[in-house]
Amino acid sequence: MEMWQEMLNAAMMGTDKRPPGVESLTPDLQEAVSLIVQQTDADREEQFLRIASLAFNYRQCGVSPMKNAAQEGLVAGEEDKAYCTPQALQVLKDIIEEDNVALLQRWLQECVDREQLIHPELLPAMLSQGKQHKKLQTLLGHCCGKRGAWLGRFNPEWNFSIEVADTEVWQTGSLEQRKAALQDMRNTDPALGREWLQKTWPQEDANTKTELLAMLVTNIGAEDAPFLEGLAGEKSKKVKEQAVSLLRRIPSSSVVQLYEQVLRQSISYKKEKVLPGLSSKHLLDIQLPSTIDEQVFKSGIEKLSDKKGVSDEDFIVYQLAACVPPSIWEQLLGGSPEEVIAVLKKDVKGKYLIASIAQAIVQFNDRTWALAFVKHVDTNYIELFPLLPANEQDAYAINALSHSADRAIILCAERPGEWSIDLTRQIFRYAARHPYQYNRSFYSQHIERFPFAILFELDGLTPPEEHFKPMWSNISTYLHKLIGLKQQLFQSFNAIK
Amino acid sequence: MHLSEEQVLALAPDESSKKSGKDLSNPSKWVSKGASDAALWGECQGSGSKPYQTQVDRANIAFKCSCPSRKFPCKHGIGLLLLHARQAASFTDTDMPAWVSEWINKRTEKQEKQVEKKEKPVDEAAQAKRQQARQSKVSDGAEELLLWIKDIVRNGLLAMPDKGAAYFEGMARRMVDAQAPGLANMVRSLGDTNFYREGWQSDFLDQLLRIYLIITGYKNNEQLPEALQQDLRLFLGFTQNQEALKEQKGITDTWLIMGKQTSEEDTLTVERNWLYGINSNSYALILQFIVRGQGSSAIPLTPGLFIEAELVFYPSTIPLRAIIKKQINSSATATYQGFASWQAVVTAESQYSSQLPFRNERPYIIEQLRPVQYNQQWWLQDSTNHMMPIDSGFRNIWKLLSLSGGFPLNMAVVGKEKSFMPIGVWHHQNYKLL
Repeated sequence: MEMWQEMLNAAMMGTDKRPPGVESLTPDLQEAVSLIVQQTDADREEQFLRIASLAFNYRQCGVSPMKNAAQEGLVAGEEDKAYCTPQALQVLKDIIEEDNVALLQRWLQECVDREQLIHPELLPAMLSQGKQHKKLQTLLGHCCGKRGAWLGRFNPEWNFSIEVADTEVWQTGSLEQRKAALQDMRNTDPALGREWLQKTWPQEDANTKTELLAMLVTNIGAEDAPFLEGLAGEKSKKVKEQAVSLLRRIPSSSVVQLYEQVLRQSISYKKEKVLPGLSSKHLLDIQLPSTIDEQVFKSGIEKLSDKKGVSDEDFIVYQLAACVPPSIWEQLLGGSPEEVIAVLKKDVKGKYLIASIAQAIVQFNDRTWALAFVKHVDTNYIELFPLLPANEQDAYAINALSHSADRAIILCAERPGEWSIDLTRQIFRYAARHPYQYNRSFYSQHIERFPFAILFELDGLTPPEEHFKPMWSNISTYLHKLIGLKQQLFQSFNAIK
Repeated sequence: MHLSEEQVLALAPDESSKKSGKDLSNPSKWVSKGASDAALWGECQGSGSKPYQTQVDRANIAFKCSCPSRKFPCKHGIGLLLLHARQAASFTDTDMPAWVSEWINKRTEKQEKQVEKKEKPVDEAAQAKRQQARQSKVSDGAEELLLWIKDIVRNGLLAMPDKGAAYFEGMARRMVDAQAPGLANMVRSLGDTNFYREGWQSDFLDQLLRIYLIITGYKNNEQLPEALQQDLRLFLGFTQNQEALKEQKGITDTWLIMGKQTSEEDTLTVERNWLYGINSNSYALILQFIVRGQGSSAIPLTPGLFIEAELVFYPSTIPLRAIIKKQINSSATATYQGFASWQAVVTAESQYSSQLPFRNERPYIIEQLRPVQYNQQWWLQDSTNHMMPIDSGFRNIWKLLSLSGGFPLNMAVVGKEKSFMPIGVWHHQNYKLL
């Protein structure tokens, strides 16, 4: 190499300035070089080119590989799960090409459910997907197996693929992984999930605290109240707000108890004689107590009404009604939910209270009251949709499409599982007439919800407006592709190997 | 022959054909479809009233379609093959319709005729005159280039980064005028040097010396052996009469298509197909040129497949470049034998370089190589723990690493001296392209 370097140095400077030092040449070439030097037909440049050519070929003929001891232990562990089928792998490639994260997530979930692995050939592409879409990391960690974990040792950006226990993920994972681990734990053992958070609480920063705290909403209960109450002294406003919003979901929490107490003092339901000895009727009376604990207003209840025709006093009561469990009304008015609704419907102020109770039903996930509302209240409160039994949901959502379509569609999209063909048809009919809002991105994100059978109805859903027709045609083509891909996904996993 | 989806997609001329082909792999797009040992066919409903008739010769992959596309193969051909790769069982029709059997029969006849075809009589005197005129032009061009090289050497490579593209392009054009397109390309590659990259000086000087060796060799042409003269002619850019080449007897073997490297040069797509003959234990390079926007006469070579074919090599001291004289059949798999170690590869390399110092890279199959990281660089280590660095331009290190898992794999590489690019590996007996 010294010889070649000498040639390079000479070439860099130019033969005019620096002729090559032939003494640095290997003895093997000395004889040939002396012959070149003796040739008188060549000028200085020609001589250099001849000598350099000699050195060039000597170098390329004399290459030898480097010897280095084998590094032990640098191999991936043996997989204990089977690889997915070639068909499933091909569908995965198509999904990546289509860049559809929803389908990718479904594919990974199917793969995890069947305890299968992605073929090594596709691991780098998949691990890169994990880097881009953090929510896929846990699923990928399972699907990429030991080979994926091994690759993560060489590429720090792929480290998430290392398969570890949930507790370890909680301690060492990224924020997204920790959130997923905490949510999983809240689903299976809410108390342990809370203990996890309590243990690491002092070490977390404000943003992490807020994000992790939000996970406690899963299976929130009275046991969480002491911890959340204790967060009143936190420095961060965001953390405190998050804690209060969670406490407002716990009936036994001090804040809800306080609201309940004030509400009980404010509502009276009395029998009053209309004509002595002949008839009587019930009267609902709203009267705030003379003194109200200031804590009520500090916790977010507004003192002044922002509704025309509603007094400040009534306004406070309506707010309180939205913040206490709806079952209180069964005690206050002494009847079943149906009977309470009947009383409220007859009362002048009842319509406001019904709207507040609807909010309370959502806040406290009261399914009994939700069903009673659907059956006995004429107004469609679409927010109750998730609390309804499956057989009631679709009809309620379809009904809501006429006045709260966008919210109804969001709630339907959030519900796991495929939509019924009726619901899909109605939503698509609406979406087809609002193509700027419900564009390809909407269909791409919610592909999991669309049943295969809708493909045969797409032409019939073409909007009457001429200017929307071409857009719907494009969407239809796109849907054919996506739903086809989804069908292939399930077929490939269910195919007999 | 049954092609996998990956192999079918490798046949597509561009990305949009791949995408459209995939869309057409939907069974609902096909009015009819069928398959026999000799052919695949189908009728695809396009925008017109009459469906397009698409057919594929399965024995020697070839396409025909009644669509007006100028791409080759068209999206219908890709779509049909993809559908077959996914759902071969749905091709229930086995009787070739007339439009398919006619084409297949014609192809067979044509192949036979081609072999029998005699060359047209040529005016030898005129040809010799033309050749002499060209040789004289090339000699003049070579002399001019030599002066240019000497000028560079005299003033030093240090000034090269400031010269600009026009300095090299100007000389390349002079070489085109001198009817030495081979030299023109070599000069252009000097101009393509990345002067910001560490170590450009060595690569630049290498290329300069290669050009010098070719020019000097050509000047002393008459004193050299015939094969070396042919090598020099090829490097200078003299074309080889392919029909004459096909007259010669070739090597009939089972060839593995180890890989395909494509590069775009203006409107020209250059395909470099690396082949390995399992019985002759020889390597071949099939170069194919496809002009954009024009139909292609290139033979579709699917990387990863074994084909039965007769190859005729261009005359050379170390034959590598070849043409396919006759493709007899395509078969799925076959065994192979590679180099046992890097030591064996460098021994062969030294021999090739000693015979043809200005040669280009060559392909090798090497057994039991594993990718290892050493000094922040990736290397390929053989079973005796000898290592060679992987070419810095190699983009698929993660795929290679993932397939290997740290374990050795039999590997096909292309390269020379101290830089090798993996192009495929055998993973559980299946050849995987990288």
